[in-house]
Amino acid sequence: MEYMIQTNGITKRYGKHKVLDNVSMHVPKGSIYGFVGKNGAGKTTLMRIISALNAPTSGTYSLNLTDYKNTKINEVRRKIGAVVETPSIYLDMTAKQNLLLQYKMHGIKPDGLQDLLNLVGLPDTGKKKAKNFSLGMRQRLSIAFSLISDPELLILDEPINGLDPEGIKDVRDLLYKLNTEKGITILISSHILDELSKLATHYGFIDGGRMIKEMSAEELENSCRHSIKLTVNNTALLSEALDAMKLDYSVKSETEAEIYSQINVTPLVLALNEKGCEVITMTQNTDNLEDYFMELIGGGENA
Amino acid sequence: MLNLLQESFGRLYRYKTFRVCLIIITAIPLFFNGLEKMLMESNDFPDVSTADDYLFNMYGMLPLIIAIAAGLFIIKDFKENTVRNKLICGYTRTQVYIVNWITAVFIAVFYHLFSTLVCTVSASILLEPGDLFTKVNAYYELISIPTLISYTSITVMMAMIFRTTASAIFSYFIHAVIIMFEPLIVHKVDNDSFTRFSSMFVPENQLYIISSRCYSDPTKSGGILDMFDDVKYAIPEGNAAYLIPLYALLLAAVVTVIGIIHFNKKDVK
Repeated sequence: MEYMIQTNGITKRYGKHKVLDNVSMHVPKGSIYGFVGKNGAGKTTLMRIISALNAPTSGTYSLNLTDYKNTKINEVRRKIGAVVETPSIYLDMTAKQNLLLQYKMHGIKPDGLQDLLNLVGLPDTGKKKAKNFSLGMRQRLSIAFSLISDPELLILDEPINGLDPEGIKDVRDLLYKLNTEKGITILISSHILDELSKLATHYGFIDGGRMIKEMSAEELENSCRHSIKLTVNNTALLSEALDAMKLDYSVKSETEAEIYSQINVTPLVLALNEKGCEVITMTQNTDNLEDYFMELIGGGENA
Repeated sequence: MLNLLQESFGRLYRYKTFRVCLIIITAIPLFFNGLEKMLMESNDFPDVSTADDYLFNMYGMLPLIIAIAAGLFIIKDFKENTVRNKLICGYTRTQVYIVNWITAVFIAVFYHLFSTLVCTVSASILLEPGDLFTKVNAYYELISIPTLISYTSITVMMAMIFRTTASAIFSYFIHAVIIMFEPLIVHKVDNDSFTRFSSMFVPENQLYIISSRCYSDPTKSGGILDMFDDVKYAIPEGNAAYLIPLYALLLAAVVTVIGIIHFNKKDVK
Protein backbone atom coordinates (compact mmCIF):
# COMPACT_ATOMS: atom_id res chain seq x y z
CA MET A 1 0.00 0.00 0.00
CA GLU A 2 1.28 3.49 -0.82
CA TYR A 3 1.28 6.02 1.96
CA MET A 4 0.86 9.73 1.40
CA ILE A 5 2.22 10.41 4.89
CA GLN A 6 4.45 8.04 6.78
CA THR A 7 6.15 8.91 10.04
CA ASN A 8 8.74 6.68 11.66
CA GLY A 9 9.42 7.10 15.34
CA ILE A 10 8.78 10.83 15.49
CA THR A 11 9.68 12.26 18.88
CA LYS A 12 9.35 15.89 19.87
CA ARG A 13 10.71 17.33 23.08
CA TYR A 14 10.47 20.80 24.55
CA GLY A 15 13.20 20.73 27.16
CA LYS A 16 12.42 17.78 29.38
CA HIS A 17 8.80 17.57 28.29
CA LYS A 18 8.14 14.94 25.64
CA VAL A 19 5.17 15.94 23.50
CA LEU A 20 5.47 13.14 20.96
CA ASP A 21 6.97 9.78 21.76
CA ASN A 22 8.07 7.53 18.94
CA VAL A 23 4.99 8.15 16.81
CA SER A 24 4.60 6.12 13.66
CA MET A 25 1.68 7.02 11.43
CA HIS A 26 0.58 5.68 8.07
CA VAL A 27 -1.85 7.69 5.99
CA PRO A 28 -2.82 5.75 2.88
CA LYS A 29 -3.02 7.60 -0.42
CA GLY A 30 -6.52 8.63 -1.26
CA SER A 31 -7.83 8.14 2.27
CA ILE A 32 -9.50 10.46 4.72
CA TYR A 33 -7.51 9.86 7.88
CA GLY A 34 -9.24 10.87 11.09
CA PHE A 35 -6.75 11.80 13.75
CA VAL A 36 -8.33 11.33 17.17
CA GLY A 37 -7.01 12.26 20.57
CA LYS A 38 -7.64 14.25 23.73
CA ASN A 39 -6.54 17.84 24.21
CA GLY A 40 -2.78 17.87 24.54
CA ALA A 41 -2.38 14.39 23.08
CA GLY A 42 0.00 15.66 20.39
CA LYS A 43 -2.19 15.86 17.29
CA THR A 44 -1.40 19.47 16.45
CA THR A 45 2.31 19.02 17.19
CA LEU A 46 2.53 16.15 14.74
CA MET A 47 0.61 18.08 12.12
CA ARG A 48 2.93 21.03 12.60
CA ILE A 49 5.95 18.79 12.09
CA ILE A 50 4.52 17.33 8.91
CA SER A 51 3.70 20.87 7.71
CA ALA A 52 7.34 21.99 8.19
CA LEU A 53 6.47 24.44 10.95
CA ASN A 54 8.35 22.45 13.58
CA ALA A 55 11.27 20.06 13.34
CA PRO A 56 11.17 16.65 15.02
CA THR A 57 13.63 16.03 17.82
CA SER A 58 14.19 12.58 16.34
CA GLY A 59 12.56 10.29 13.83
CA THR A 60 11.76 10.76 10.19
CA TYR A 61 8.78 11.23 7.99
CA SER A 62 7.99 11.14 4.32
CA LEU A 63 5.38 12.85 2.21
CA ASN A 64 4.27 11.16 -0.99
CA LEU A 65 7.20 8.74 -0.69
CA THR A 66 9.73 11.61 -0.42
CA ASP A 67 11.82 11.81 2.73
CA TYR A 68 11.53 15.16 4.50
CA LYS A 69 15.28 15.76 4.26
CA ASN A 70 15.34 15.12 0.53
CA THR A 71 15.89 18.29 -1.52
CA LYS A 72 12.80 17.41 -3.57
CA ILE A 73 10.52 17.70 -0.54
CA ASN A 74 9.80 21.35 -1.35
CA GLU A 75 8.32 20.35 -4.69
CA VAL A 76 6.09 17.88 -2.86
CA ARG A 77 5.04 20.61 -0.42
CA ARG A 78 3.85 22.77 -3.29
CA LYS A 79 1.01 20.28 -3.61
CA ILE A 80 0.08 20.31 0.06
CA GLY A 81 -2.53 22.50 1.68
CA ALA A 82 -2.81 22.87 5.41
CA VAL A 83 -4.87 24.62 8.03
CA VAL A 84 -3.07 24.25 11.33
CA GLU A 85 -4.56 25.69 14.52
CA THR A 86 -5.68 29.28 14.04
CA PRO A 87 -6.48 30.71 10.60
CA SER A 88 -3.40 32.30 8.97
CA ILE A 89 -4.86 35.17 7.00
CA TYR A 90 -4.01 38.84 6.47
CA LEU A 91 -6.40 40.64 8.76
CA ASP A 92 -6.31 44.05 7.12
CA MET A 93 -7.19 42.71 3.68
CA THR A 94 -10.41 41.51 2.11
CA ALA A 95 -10.99 37.86 1.20
CA LYS A 96 -10.16 38.56 -2.45
CA GLN A 97 -6.98 40.47 -1.60
CA ASN A 98 -5.90 37.65 0.70
CA LEU A 99 -6.41 35.05 -2.00
CA LEU A 100 -4.70 37.15 -4.67
CA LEU A 101 -1.57 37.27 -2.54
CA GLN A 102 -1.71 33.52 -2.02
CA TYR A 103 -2.05 32.97 -5.75
CA LYS A 104 0.98 35.22 -6.27
CA MET A 105 2.95 33.24 -3.71
CA HIS A 106 2.14 29.99 -5.46
CA GLY A 107 2.88 31.47 -8.86
CA ILE A 108 -0.60 30.56 -10.08
CA LYS A 109 -2.96 32.75 -12.11
CA PRO A 110 -6.01 33.72 -10.03
CA ASP A 111 -8.51 32.54 -12.64
CA GLY A 112 -10.33 30.29 -10.20
CA LEU A 113 -10.49 32.84 -7.38
CA GLN A 114 -14.25 33.48 -7.43
CA ASP A 115 -15.02 29.77 -7.86
CA LEU A 116 -12.87 29.05 -4.83
CA LEU A 117 -14.65 31.66 -2.74
CA ASN A 118 -18.00 30.19 -3.84
CA LEU A 119 -16.77 26.71 -2.96
CA VAL A 120 -15.91 27.63 0.64
CA GLY A 121 -19.07 29.66 1.14
CA LEU A 122 -17.62 33.18 0.92
CA PRO A 123 -19.09 34.30 -2.41
CA ASP A 124 -19.61 37.95 -1.62
CA THR A 125 -17.73 39.46 1.33
CA GLY A 126 -17.04 42.61 -0.72
CA LYS A 127 -14.82 45.17 1.00
CA LYS A 128 -15.11 43.59 4.41
CA LYS A 129 -11.66 43.13 5.91
CA ALA A 130 -10.71 39.77 7.38
CA LYS A 131 -10.31 41.29 10.84
CA ASN A 132 -14.09 41.84 10.80
CA PHE A 133 -14.85 38.25 9.79
CA SER A 134 -16.36 35.81 12.25
CA LEU A 135 -14.25 32.82 13.27
CA GLY A 136 -16.22 30.66 10.88
CA MET A 137 -15.55 32.99 7.97
CA ARG A 138 -11.84 33.11 8.78
CA GLN A 139 -11.82 29.32 8.93
CA ARG A 140 -13.47 29.12 5.51
CA LEU A 141 -10.92 31.53 4.07
CA SER A 142 -8.11 29.42 5.53
CA ILE A 143 -9.58 26.37 3.85
CA ALA A 144 -9.68 28.33 0.60
CA PHE A 145 -5.95 29.09 1.05
CA SER A 146 -5.23 25.38 1.39
CA LEU A 147 -7.03 24.60 -1.88
CA ILE A 148 -5.29 27.15 -4.11
CA SER A 149 -2.51 24.90 -5.34
CA ASP A 150 -4.92 22.08 -6.28
CA PRO A 151 -3.33 19.95 -3.59
CA GLU A 152 -2.80 16.21 -3.44
CA LEU A 153 -2.74 16.28 0.35
CA LEU A 154 -4.76 18.35 2.80
CA ILE A 155 -3.74 18.65 6.44
CA LEU A 156 -6.63 20.05 8.45
CA ASP A 157 -6.37 20.64 12.18
CA GLU A 158 -9.92 21.01 13.48
CA PRO A 159 -11.21 22.71 10.34
CA ILE A 160 -14.82 22.85 11.51
CA ASN A 161 -14.00 24.88 14.61
CA GLY A 162 -16.28 27.84 14.83
CA LEU A 163 -18.56 26.76 12.01
CA ASP A 164 -22.33 26.66 12.32
CA PRO A 165 -24.17 23.39 11.54
CA GLU A 166 -24.69 24.44 7.95
CA GLY A 167 -21.03 25.31 7.65
CA ILE A 168 -20.00 21.97 9.15
CA LYS A 169 -22.12 20.16 6.61
CA ASP A 170 -20.70 22.27 3.78
CA VAL A 171 -17.14 21.49 4.81
CA ARG A 172 -17.95 17.82 5.22
CA ASP A 173 -19.51 17.68 1.77
CA LEU A 174 -16.59 19.62 0.31
CA LEU A 175 -14.00 17.30 1.81
CA TYR A 176 -15.94 14.25 0.72
CA LYS A 177 -16.15 15.65 -2.81
CA LEU A 178 -12.44 16.50 -2.92
CA ASN A 179 -11.58 13.00 -1.77
CA THR A 180 -13.90 11.04 -4.00
CA GLU A 181 -13.71 13.16 -7.16
CA LYS A 182 -10.11 14.34 -7.05
CA GLY A 183 -8.55 11.60 -4.95
CA ILE A 184 -7.11 14.10 -2.49
CA THR A 185 -5.69 12.52 0.66
CA ILE A 186 -6.95 14.25 3.77
CA LEU A 187 -5.48 14.19 7.26
CA ILE A 188 -8.05 15.68 9.58
CA SER A 189 -8.26 16.08 13.31
CA SER A 190 -11.45 17.03 15.06
CA HIS A 191 -13.01 17.00 18.47
CA ILE A 192 -16.42 16.40 16.96
CA LEU A 193 -16.05 12.64 16.63
CA ASP A 194 -19.52 12.24 15.25
CA GLU A 195 -18.56 14.38 12.26
CA LEU A 196 -15.29 12.57 11.83
CA SER A 197 -17.01 9.21 11.76
CA LYS A 198 -19.12 10.39 8.81
CA LEU A 199 -16.03 11.12 6.76
CA ALA A 200 -13.00 9.11 7.74
CA THR A 201 -11.88 6.01 5.95
CA HIS A 202 -9.01 5.45 8.36
CA TYR A 203 -8.30 6.42 11.95
CA GLY A 204 -5.32 7.07 14.15
CA PHE A 205 -5.77 7.25 17.90
CA ILE A 206 -3.17 9.17 19.86
CA ASP A 207 -2.84 9.62 23.60
CA GLY A 208 -0.09 11.12 25.74
CA GLY A 209 2.08 11.65 22.68
CA ARG A 210 1.92 8.00 21.64
CA MET A 211 0.07 6.45 18.74
CA ILE A 212 -2.23 3.91 20.38
CA LYS A 213 -3.83 2.40 17.34
CA GLU A 214 -4.36 2.81 13.62
CA MET A 215 -7.21 1.15 11.80
CA SER A 216 -9.47 1.42 8.83
CA ALA A 217 -13.12 2.40 9.16
CA GLU A 218 -14.06 -1.18 8.35
CA GLU A 219 -11.88 -2.54 11.15
CA LEU A 220 -13.41 0.01 13.51
CA GLU A 221 -16.90 -1.08 12.51
CA ASN A 222 -16.00 -4.69 13.26
CA SER A 223 -14.39 -3.75 16.59
CA CYS A 224 -17.30 -1.72 17.83
CA ARG A 225 -19.50 -3.59 20.21
CA HIS A 226 -23.00 -4.49 19.26
CA SER A 227 -25.51 -4.90 22.05
CA ILE A 228 -29.16 -5.09 22.87
CA LYS A 229 -30.56 -2.60 25.38
CA LEU A 230 -33.42 -3.83 27.48
CA THR A 231 -35.80 -1.90 29.71
CA VAL A 232 -37.55 -4.29 32.08
CA ASN A 233 -39.63 -4.06 35.24
CA ASN A 234 -37.02 -5.82 37.40
CA THR A 235 -33.35 -6.27 36.49
CA ALA A 236 -32.84 -8.75 39.35
CA LEU A 237 -35.16 -11.18 37.63
CA LEU A 238 -33.49 -10.36 34.30
CA SER A 239 -30.08 -11.16 35.80
CA GLU A 240 -31.29 -14.60 36.96
CA ALA A 241 -32.52 -15.42 33.48
CA LEU A 242 -29.40 -14.14 31.73
CA ASP A 243 -27.07 -15.96 34.16
CA ALA A 244 -28.91 -19.17 33.44
CA MET A 245 -28.44 -18.58 29.70
CA LYS A 246 -24.75 -17.74 30.28
CA LEU A 247 -24.96 -14.45 28.42
CA ASP A 248 -22.56 -11.51 28.71
CA TYR A 249 -24.42 -8.48 30.04
CA SER A 250 -24.27 -5.45 32.32
CA VAL A 251 -26.96 -3.90 34.49
CA LYS A 252 -27.24 -0.13 34.06
CA SER A 253 -30.00 0.61 36.55
CA GLU A 254 -32.97 -0.98 38.32
CA THR A 255 -34.80 -1.22 35.03
CA GLU A 256 -32.12 -1.12 32.33
CA ALA A 257 -29.53 -3.60 31.14
CA GLU A 258 -27.37 -4.25 28.11
CA ILE A 259 -26.66 -7.67 26.60
CA TYR A 260 -23.44 -8.06 24.57
CA SER A 261 -23.70 -11.68 23.54
CA GLN A 262 -25.33 -12.80 20.35
CA ILE A 263 -28.89 -13.84 21.21
CA ASN A 264 -32.08 -15.15 19.75
CA VAL A 265 -34.88 -12.90 20.87
CA THR A 266 -37.69 -15.54 21.21
CA PRO A 267 -35.91 -17.86 23.71
CA LEU A 268 -34.82 -14.79 25.69
CA VAL A 269 -38.31 -13.36 25.94
CA LEU A 270 -39.77 -16.78 26.86
CA ALA A 271 -37.11 -17.23 29.57
CA LEU A 272 -37.83 -13.77 30.99
CA ASN A 273 -41.57 -14.47 30.91
CA GLU A 274 -41.00 -17.64 32.94
CA LYS A 275 -39.21 -15.56 35.59
CA GLY A 276 -42.01 -13.03 35.59
CA CYS A 277 -39.80 -10.33 34.07
CA GLU A 278 -41.65 -7.92 31.81
CA VAL A 279 -39.77 -6.53 28.78
CA ILE A 280 -40.84 -2.92 28.26
CA THR A 281 -38.46 -1.95 25.42
CA MET A 282 -35.73 -3.66 23.44
CA THR A 283 -33.34 -1.80 21.08
CA GLN A 284 -30.25 -2.74 19.12
CA ASN A 285 -27.17 -0.63 19.84
CA THR A 286 -23.73 -0.28 18.25
CA ASP A 287 -20.77 1.57 19.77
CA ASN A 288 -19.87 4.66 17.81
CA LEU A 289 -16.45 6.26 17.35
CA GLU A 290 -16.80 8.19 20.56
CA ASP A 291 -17.59 5.04 22.55
CA TYR A 292 -14.70 3.20 20.95
CA PHE A 293 -12.34 6.12 21.61
CA MET A 294 -13.43 6.38 25.26
CA GLU A 295 -12.82 2.72 25.77
CA LEU A 296 -9.46 2.81 23.99
CA ILE A 297 -8.14 5.88 25.77
CA GLY A 298 -9.97 5.29 29.01
CA GLY A 299 -11.33 7.80 31.49
CA GLY A 300 -14.49 9.80 31.43
CA GLU A 301 -12.94 12.91 29.83
CA ASN A 302 -14.17 14.17 26.49
CA ALA A 303 -11.81 14.33 23.45
CA MET B 1 11.57 32.73 -4.71
CA LEU B 2 10.47 35.35 -7.21
CA ASN B 3 6.85 34.50 -6.43
CA LEU B 4 7.52 34.94 -2.72
CA LEU B 5 9.11 38.29 -3.44
CA GLN B 6 6.06 39.33 -5.47
CA GLU B 7 3.84 38.36 -2.55
CA SER B 8 5.99 40.38 -0.16
CA PHE B 9 5.87 43.49 -2.33
CA GLY B 10 2.15 42.95 -2.80
CA ARG B 11 1.77 43.13 0.97
CA LEU B 12 4.08 46.15 1.18
CA TYR B 13 1.89 48.00 -1.31
CA ARG B 14 -1.03 47.67 1.11
CA TYR B 15 0.99 48.30 4.25
CA LYS B 16 -0.29 51.46 5.94
CA THR B 17 2.79 52.02 8.09
CA PHE B 18 4.95 52.22 4.95
CA ARG B 19 2.82 55.07 3.65
CA VAL B 20 2.67 56.83 7.01
CA CYS B 21 6.47 56.75 7.35
CA LEU B 22 6.75 58.06 3.80
CA ILE B 23 4.56 61.01 4.77
CA ILE B 24 6.75 61.64 7.83
CA ILE B 25 10.01 61.69 5.85
CA THR B 26 8.38 64.06 3.39
CA ALA B 27 6.84 66.37 5.97
CA ILE B 28 9.90 66.83 8.20
CA PRO B 29 12.32 68.33 5.63
CA LEU B 30 9.51 70.43 4.14
CA PHE B 31 8.77 71.77 7.60
CA PHE B 32 12.40 72.61 8.42
CA ASN B 33 13.10 74.11 5.02
CA GLY B 34 10.00 76.24 5.38
CA LEU B 35 11.02 77.27 8.87
CA GLU B 36 14.48 78.27 7.72
CA LYS B 37 13.03 80.28 4.85
CA MET B 38 10.83 82.17 7.34
CA LEU B 39 13.79 82.86 9.61
CA MET B 40 15.91 84.05 6.68
CA GLU B 41 13.20 86.43 5.58
CA SER B 42 12.88 87.79 9.08
CA ASN B 43 16.64 88.52 9.05
CA ASP B 44 17.07 86.53 12.29
CA PHE B 45 19.01 83.88 10.41
CA PRO B 46 21.58 85.58 8.17
CA ASP B 47 23.37 82.42 6.99
CA VAL B 48 21.75 80.91 3.92
CA SER B 49 21.60 77.13 3.78
CA THR B 50 21.71 75.47 0.40
CA ALA B 51 20.22 72.28 -1.00
CA ASP B 52 23.72 70.85 -0.79
CA ASP B 53 23.62 71.28 3.01
CA TYR B 54 20.33 69.35 3.18
CA LEU B 55 21.48 66.37 1.13
CA PHE B 56 21.81 64.04 4.13
CA ASN B 57 19.49 65.87 6.47
CA MET B 58 17.13 62.94 7.03
CA TYR B 59 19.84 60.29 7.03
CA GLY B 60 20.23 60.26 10.81
CA MET B 61 16.52 59.56 11.27
CA LEU B 62 16.38 56.71 8.80
CA PRO B 63 17.43 53.89 11.16
CA LEU B 64 14.43 54.64 13.37
CA ILE B 65 12.08 54.84 10.38
CA ILE B 66 13.48 51.56 9.03
CA ALA B 67 13.05 49.87 12.42
CA ILE B 68 9.41 50.94 12.46
CA ALA B 69 8.49 50.35 8.81
CA ALA B 70 10.62 47.34 7.89
CA GLY B 71 10.84 45.76 11.33
CA LEU B 72 7.12 45.88 12.01
CA PHE B 73 6.38 44.71 8.46
CA ILE B 74 8.28 41.50 9.15
CA ILE B 75 6.83 41.06 12.63
CA LYS B 76 3.29 41.42 11.27
CA ASP B 77 3.84 38.24 9.29
CA PHE B 78 4.61 36.40 12.53
CA LYS B 79 1.88 38.03 14.58
CA GLU B 80 -0.79 37.06 12.06
CA ASN B 81 0.86 33.64 11.59
CA THR B 82 0.89 34.16 7.84
CA VAL B 83 4.57 33.17 7.71
CA ARG B 84 3.23 29.63 8.13
CA ASN B 85 1.63 29.70 4.69
CA LYS B 86 5.04 30.17 3.09
CA LEU B 87 6.65 27.26 4.90
CA ILE B 88 3.68 24.95 4.37
CA CYS B 89 3.73 25.44 0.62
CA GLY B 90 7.39 24.56 0.32
CA TYR B 91 9.53 27.69 0.68
CA THR B 92 12.59 27.10 2.80
CA ARG B 93 13.28 29.21 5.85
CA THR B 94 16.34 30.65 4.14
CA GLN B 95 14.20 31.81 1.24
CA VAL B 96 11.66 33.38 3.59
CA TYR B 97 14.47 35.19 5.44
CA ILE B 98 16.14 36.44 2.28
CA VAL B 99 12.86 37.74 0.84
CA ASN B 100 12.19 39.61 4.09
CA TRP B 101 15.72 41.01 3.92
CA ILE B 102 15.33 42.14 0.31
CA THR B 103 11.98 43.80 1.09
CA ALA B 104 13.45 45.55 4.14
CA VAL B 105 16.47 46.78 2.16
CA PHE B 106 14.14 48.06 -0.53
CA ILE B 107 12.18 49.99 2.12
CA ALA B 108 15.42 51.48 3.50
CA VAL B 109 16.91 52.48 0.15
CA PHE B 110 13.57 53.80 -1.13
CA TYR B 111 13.10 55.96 1.95
CA HIS B 112 16.67 57.25 1.70
CA LEU B 113 16.46 58.17 -1.97
CA PHE B 114 12.99 59.63 -1.56
CA SER B 115 13.96 61.71 1.47
CA THR B 116 17.12 62.90 -0.29
CA LEU B 117 15.02 63.99 -3.25
CA VAL B 118 12.50 65.81 -1.04
CA CYS B 119 15.23 67.49 1.00
CA THR B 120 17.21 68.75 -1.99
CA VAL B 121 14.27 69.73 -4.18
CA SER B 122 12.48 71.62 -1.39
CA ALA B 123 15.72 73.28 -0.29
CA SER B 124 16.52 74.22 -3.92
CA ILE B 125 13.12 75.85 -4.25
CA LEU B 126 12.79 77.45 -0.81
CA LEU B 127 16.44 78.27 -0.16
CA GLU B 128 19.34 78.10 -2.62
CA PRO B 129 20.40 75.19 -4.86
CA GLY B 130 24.10 75.14 -3.93
CA ASP B 131 26.54 72.69 -5.48
CA LEU B 132 24.85 69.29 -5.41
CA PHE B 133 26.72 67.43 -8.10
CA THR B 134 30.18 67.13 -6.59
CA LYS B 135 32.55 64.20 -6.23
CA VAL B 136 32.22 64.35 -2.43
CA ASN B 137 28.42 64.18 -2.55
CA ALA B 138 28.53 61.32 -5.05
CA TYR B 139 30.92 59.37 -2.83
CA TYR B 140 28.83 59.78 0.30
CA GLU B 141 25.62 59.02 -1.55
CA LEU B 142 27.24 55.79 -2.74
CA ILE B 143 28.48 54.66 0.67
CA SER B 144 25.21 55.60 2.33
CA ILE B 145 23.63 52.50 0.80
CA PRO B 146 25.93 49.89 2.43
CA THR B 147 25.47 51.58 5.82
CA LEU B 148 21.71 51.50 5.40
CA ILE B 149 21.96 47.85 4.44
CA SER B 150 23.88 47.06 7.62
CA TYR B 151 21.30 48.87 9.78
CA THR B 152 18.50 47.10 7.95
CA SER B 153 20.17 43.71 8.31
CA ILE B 154 20.34 44.20 12.08
CA THR B 155 16.66 45.16 12.15
CA VAL B 156 15.72 42.12 10.06
CA MET B 157 17.76 39.79 12.28
CA MET B 158 16.15 41.13 15.46
CA ALA B 159 12.67 40.94 13.95
CA MET B 160 13.16 37.37 12.65
CA ILE B 161 14.69 36.12 15.89
CA PHE B 162 12.47 37.76 18.49
CA ARG B 163 9.31 38.35 16.43
CA THR B 164 7.94 41.04 18.75
CA THR B 165 7.18 44.73 18.26
CA ALA B 166 9.68 45.57 21.00
CA SER B 167 12.48 43.83 19.13
CA ALA B 168 12.00 46.05 16.07
CA ILE B 169 12.29 49.18 18.19
CA PHE B 170 15.14 47.72 20.24
CA SER B 171 17.09 47.15 17.03
CA TYR B 172 17.25 50.94 16.77
CA PHE B 173 18.13 51.64 20.40
CA ILE B 174 20.87 49.04 20.43
CA HIS B 175 22.94 51.42 18.31
CA ALA B 176 22.47 54.21 20.85
CA VAL B 177 23.65 51.86 23.59
CA ILE B 178 26.70 50.79 21.59
CA ILE B 179 27.73 54.36 20.75
CA MET B 180 27.44 55.31 24.44
CA PHE B 181 29.93 52.66 25.45
CA GLU B 182 32.19 52.81 22.43
CA PRO B 183 34.52 55.58 23.69
CA LEU B 184 34.95 53.74 26.99
CA ILE B 185 35.81 50.49 25.25
CA VAL B 186 38.19 52.22 22.87
CA HIS B 187 39.86 53.97 25.79
CA LYS B 188 40.13 50.68 27.70
CA VAL B 189 41.57 48.71 24.78
CA ASP B 190 43.91 51.61 23.99
CA ASN B 191 45.11 50.24 20.66
CA ASP B 192 45.45 52.42 17.55
CA SER B 193 44.31 49.70 15.14
CA PHE B 194 41.25 48.96 17.23
CA THR B 195 40.44 52.65 17.58
CA ARG B 196 40.65 53.17 13.85
CA PHE B 197 38.65 50.02 13.15
CA SER B 198 35.93 51.01 15.62
CA SER B 199 35.65 54.49 14.15
CA MET B 200 34.82 52.98 10.75
CA PHE B 201 32.99 49.78 11.72
CA VAL B 202 30.40 50.84 14.31
CA PRO B 203 27.21 51.64 12.36
CA GLU B 204 26.42 54.74 14.37
CA ASN B 205 29.89 56.16 13.52
CA GLN B 206 29.23 55.42 9.85
CA LEU B 207 25.95 57.26 10.18
CA TYR B 208 27.72 60.36 11.53
CA ILE B 209 30.42 60.17 8.88
CA ILE B 210 27.85 60.13 6.09
CA SER B 211 25.54 62.73 7.63
CA SER B 212 28.42 65.14 8.23
CA ARG B 213 30.33 64.12 5.10
CA CYS B 214 33.65 64.17 6.91
CA TYR B 215 35.99 61.76 8.60
CA SER B 216 39.47 62.01 10.00
CA ASP B 217 41.54 59.21 11.43
CA PRO B 218 40.91 59.36 15.23
CA THR B 219 44.43 58.12 15.92
CA LYS B 220 45.74 61.24 14.17
CA SER B 221 43.06 63.72 15.17
CA GLY B 222 41.94 64.38 18.74
CA GLY B 223 40.56 60.87 19.31
CA ILE B 224 37.37 58.96 18.63
CA LEU B 225 35.17 61.79 19.85
CA ASP B 226 36.87 64.31 17.55
CA MET B 227 36.72 62.41 14.26
CA PHE B 228 34.61 65.06 12.58
CA ASP B 229 36.23 68.26 13.79
CA ASP B 230 39.10 68.74 11.38
CA VAL B 231 37.51 68.31 7.96
CA LYS B 232 34.54 69.77 6.17
CA TYR B 233 32.83 67.83 3.38
CA ALA B 234 35.66 65.64 2.13
CA ILE B 235 36.16 62.05 1.06
CA PRO B 236 37.99 60.10 3.80
CA GLU B 237 41.69 59.78 3.16
CA GLY B 238 43.56 56.59 2.37
CA ASN B 239 41.91 53.20 2.68
CA ALA B 240 39.13 54.60 4.91
CA ALA B 241 37.33 55.58 1.70
CA TYR B 242 36.64 51.94 0.81
CA LEU B 243 36.91 50.37 4.28
CA ILE B 244 33.84 52.17 5.60
CA PRO B 245 31.44 50.67 3.05
CA LEU B 246 33.26 47.34 3.18
CA TYR B 247 32.81 47.08 6.95
CA ALA B 248 29.13 47.94 6.52
CA LEU B 249 28.64 45.13 4.01
CA LEU B 250 30.64 42.74 6.18
CA LEU B 251 28.44 43.50 9.19
CA ALA B 252 25.33 43.06 7.04
CA ALA B 253 26.58 39.67 5.83
CA VAL B 254 27.49 38.43 9.31
CA VAL B 255 24.21 39.40 10.98
CA THR B 256 22.23 37.99 8.04
CA VAL B 257 24.00 34.65 8.29
CA ILE B 258 23.39 34.59 12.06
CA GLY B 259 19.74 35.40 11.48
CA ILE B 260 19.31 32.70 8.83
CA ILE B 261 20.96 30.04 11.01
CA HIS B 262 18.78 30.96 13.97
CA PHE B 263 15.57 31.07 11.92
CA ASN B 264 16.32 27.66 10.45
CA LYS B 265 16.56 26.12 13.89
CA LYS B 266 13.57 27.71 15.58
CA ASP B 267 10.02 26.39 15.48
CA VAL B 268 7.40 28.65 13.93
CA LYS B 269 4.30 29.18 16.04
